[in-house]
Amino acid sequence: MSALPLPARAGRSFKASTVAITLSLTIVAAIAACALLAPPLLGYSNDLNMGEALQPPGAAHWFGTDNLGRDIFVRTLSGARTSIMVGLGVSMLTLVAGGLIGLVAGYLRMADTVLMRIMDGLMAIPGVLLAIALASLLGGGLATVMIAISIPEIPRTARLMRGVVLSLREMPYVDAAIASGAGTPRILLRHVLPNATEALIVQATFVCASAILAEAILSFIGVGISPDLPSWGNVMAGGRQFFRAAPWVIAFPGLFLSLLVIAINLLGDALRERIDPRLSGRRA
Amino acid sequence: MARFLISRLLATLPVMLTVLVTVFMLLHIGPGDPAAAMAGDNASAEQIAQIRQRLHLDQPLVVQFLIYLRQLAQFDLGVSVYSGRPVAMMILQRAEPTLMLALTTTLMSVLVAVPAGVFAARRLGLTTDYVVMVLSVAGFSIPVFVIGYALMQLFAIELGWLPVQGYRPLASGLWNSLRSLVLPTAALTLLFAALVARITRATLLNVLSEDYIRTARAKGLPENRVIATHALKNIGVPVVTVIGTSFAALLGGVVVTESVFNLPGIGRLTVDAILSRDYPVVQGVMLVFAFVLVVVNVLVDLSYALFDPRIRQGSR
Amino acid sequence: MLRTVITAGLAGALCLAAAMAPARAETVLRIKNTGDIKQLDALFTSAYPVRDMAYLIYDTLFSLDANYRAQPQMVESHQLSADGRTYSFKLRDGLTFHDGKPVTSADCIASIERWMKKDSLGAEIEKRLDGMKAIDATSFELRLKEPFARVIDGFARMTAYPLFIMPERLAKTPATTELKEFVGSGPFKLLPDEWVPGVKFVVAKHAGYKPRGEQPSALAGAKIAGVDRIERVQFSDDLSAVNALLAGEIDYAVEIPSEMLPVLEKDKSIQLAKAPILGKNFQVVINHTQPPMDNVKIRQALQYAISQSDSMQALFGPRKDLYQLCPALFMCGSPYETDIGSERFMKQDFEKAKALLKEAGYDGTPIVYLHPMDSKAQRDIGTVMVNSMRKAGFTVDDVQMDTATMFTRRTNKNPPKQGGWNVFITGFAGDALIDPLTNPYVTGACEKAFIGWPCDKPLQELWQKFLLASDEAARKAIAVEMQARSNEIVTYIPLGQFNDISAWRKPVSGFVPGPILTYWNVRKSD
Repeated sequence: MSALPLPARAGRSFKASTVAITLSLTIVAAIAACALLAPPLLGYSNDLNMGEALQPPGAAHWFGTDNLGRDIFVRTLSGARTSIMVGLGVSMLTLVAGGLIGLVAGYLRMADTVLMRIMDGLMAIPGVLLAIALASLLGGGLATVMIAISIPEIPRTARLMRGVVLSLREMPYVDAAIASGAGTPRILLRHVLPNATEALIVQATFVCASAILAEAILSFIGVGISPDLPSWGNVMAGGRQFFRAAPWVIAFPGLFLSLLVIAINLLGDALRERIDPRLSGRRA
Repeated sequence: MARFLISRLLATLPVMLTVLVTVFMLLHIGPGDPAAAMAGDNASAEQIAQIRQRLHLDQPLVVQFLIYLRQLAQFDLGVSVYSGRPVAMMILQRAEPTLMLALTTTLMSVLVAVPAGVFAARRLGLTTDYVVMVLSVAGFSIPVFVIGYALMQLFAIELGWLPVQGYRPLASGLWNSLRSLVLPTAALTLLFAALVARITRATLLNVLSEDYIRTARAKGLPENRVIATHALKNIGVPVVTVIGTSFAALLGGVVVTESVFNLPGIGRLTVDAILSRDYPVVQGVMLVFAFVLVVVNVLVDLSYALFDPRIRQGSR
Repeated sequence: MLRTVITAGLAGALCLAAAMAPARAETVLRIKNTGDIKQLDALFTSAYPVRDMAYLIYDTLFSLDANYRAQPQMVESHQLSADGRTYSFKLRDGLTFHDGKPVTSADCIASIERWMKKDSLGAEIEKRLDGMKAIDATSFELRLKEPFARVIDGFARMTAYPLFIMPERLAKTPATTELKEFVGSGPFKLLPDEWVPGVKFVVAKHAGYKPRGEQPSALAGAKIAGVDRIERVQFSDDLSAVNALLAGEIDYAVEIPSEMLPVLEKDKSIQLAKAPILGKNFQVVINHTQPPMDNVKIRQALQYAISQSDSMQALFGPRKDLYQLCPALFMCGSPYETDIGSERFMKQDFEKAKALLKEAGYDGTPIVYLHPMDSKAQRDIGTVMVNSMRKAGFTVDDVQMDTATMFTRRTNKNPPKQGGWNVFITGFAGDALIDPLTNPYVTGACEKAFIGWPCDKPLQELWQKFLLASDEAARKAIAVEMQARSNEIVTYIPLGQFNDISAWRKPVSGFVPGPILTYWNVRKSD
């Protein structure tokens, strides 16, 4: 075992993370291109065609068809759009809500205890179950599904944000700003928020990845998005009852979904390594 | 020590209360309640109203919440609105498959993931590190039901080595029971081990950058000895933490895995109860899950305190 | 010498074999059917799984035979007085409850009283009831204030709600309180400790049951427990159930996704057939109280929009043998079958739909469609429905939800924008639809009608006429009129008639065809 001394490896690690970022960005970009281009070019394949039901993959239908004769290739490509929308929407919701809660909790001692206890409570409920319950009780649909997935994600983001704020409060320039009589909102906006951006972006990538997975699980259980709007989750859910007879209905969207989620997670890892190599591998 | 334990336990009370309020609110704000579903297709509006009255669903929310609290204060989780059976009994009846699956998955994950994490940290920045890390990312990026179906297709249907679905209780023999858990455990281990491996690696990297390790290195100890004698000694506790912190993820995975492999566990009980709006059951299961999670976290803290006197004295 | 040894050896072997053979292994029939048994008071839910299991546990005074005629079941003989006002019943000898007590007149009277509080036909009997009294331990009589020909029909009714006989101590439970103990006198008894909702439901042979002597015919005739135990196993989805069947872990499964048929057909030990029941259909239910569906022209446009053929293909793919396109509101193959007034929904015609919409002045107001996603059939058939409606010129708000939400939301009478609805699909089975008295859609009873609340004077009058008609020919004629009127005002639209596919492992046999799937004559050989 002739391991390189650590500093030298850190250099390699930087190079490798560049490769990782490039590679994962390429995958994300390619799938995003499908998401943007497929629906206008190919439609959603909502046209039912009973005569073509359950065709295995072949020349006419590259990924086969489902039990209503809809083309899985088209539905997988256009499903990217919904899944990415869920990923982005949930990251935004989580960042805004979690960020705000964390900001307030970190800055205002009075609010801290109450808010963080509530966050602890939310974290104590298994996220998947909470999301299933929310989606089921609020009724399905794109917006509801996004909200249902966001709520279990908020506490972690809030904690992260609070940690950042707490550490920044100790910084001399924040002290100086307070001393110079700057108002709280001003200090938060001008000094604290910009310094939290990096950590939040990394967090957002992980939230995005897990949201795409969560949508698949919700649709799988039957509380997801209507098949009118194909998402990887609901296309797969459509094939659940006859997986053994027509595995392609689950396999292809599953493949695309896994690929995208892996790429986003690798991207998050690499970004985090850039920001703080020591933290790599630890999920907030 | 006792003071530490008591203060930690007291700190869980507000958490449990939050869980209680959250779950209760959650169930009652949405449209849909169990009355119509219970009454069935032919029920008249009058019959549905009767059921609502019987379940106190016609009362103001605050009153319903107080009724529930009073019940809980007597250590009573209530009864299912459908079968009238005690929720606690229903949970116990369904606990075995879930506990067994969680146990085998945790065991397998530790066996696979801790060595993998150590290995990756040891070879930080080298190709093997990246392979382990990419594999672990893949592990928690593929939906657990996709992995489940793939394993089922290959090992149960094509090869016929293992049961394709269902759970055999321990009472039918340990071997029998374990056989029925192989595929679900494998599917879930991929997810869970990935998390554990990543955290093991990160923790070890942290430990390796501590001063006493630098000192050991400076004294000229070979790297393998450093890890074996100094670093690994300190990794046991973090691994416990890992298991604690990933426990929620594990429980989430259990829900889906039980569905794919048709295991009659608590996960399926919960999903069924949510879909049929069996409020007391949903509330009961969520409370129990949260309680287990909170207790696991207290235990993790406790193990920290046992190993690290600094925490015990409350400097954390 | 040698011969002696061989003979002795053989004799010994035979003895050994005889000793080793167990008295007779317990036979267990493991079945999968759709839906969970979460509750068991059959007067508290109209859910089919509960009713079907209750039929194993409880016996009935009368039951319907294959020709839908009421035949005595627990009753040995019965008489109607000359003035048509007094029914007297004599119970069969040797009827016992699962708790060992004999079935008495008092038990029957108490059970009838509880039933009349819940059942609609029971309520019609109660309206005319003068009194019931026990004559001796096993005979009792029922006196009416006026002649009413529906008493026996009521006692034999098989859908929402059958009259199940239980011990007086349980039957005295008020009809507003759900039963907690389930003791009947049927061919199987409940094993309450083995009933785990969401996992399994178990009944065991009732050794004291005395079957009738007649051949089984639908629900009537001999009920002979052919196995020692029946375990109804609950699965997380149909795929798991089919997997279990292929692996030999269950013996019988019904409602198999048609997509899985090719897999099952490859297995020689599996027998496939249509479920031995009358059949089912899905129905489009329309809210008559809310615009734009309060307009009969727009409802008629909806008749033109649907396609039975597409709906059936969504469920059964290319398997044309599994369904039939059926114009009859009271089911095809039933006594009241007719195709009168069904032309509009038997041939999809978007042009005619559009013309009707135009004539009605439809302004594109979105039709709120309640679309459950947690049932495969509902999801797929709903997708077809929404698709057709859009093609026919409707604007559709396709609201996805889970079944529990649908169950609640459909009872909401508000405008669609305030939590109400316009259209949804549900699936009453044939055993309810077959009879104008149990078909929930054709009462025309406004507020009191089934969800959708069609309000129609002529239908109400026809319903009353049908209730009071005492001979079959008159009933048939009225039923035809009811269908014509019902189709005219579009109370509901049937989406094609089908039998669920059931599959069983070869050693299982003895299913009795009939409107309800019963298991009492089913045998399982090794």
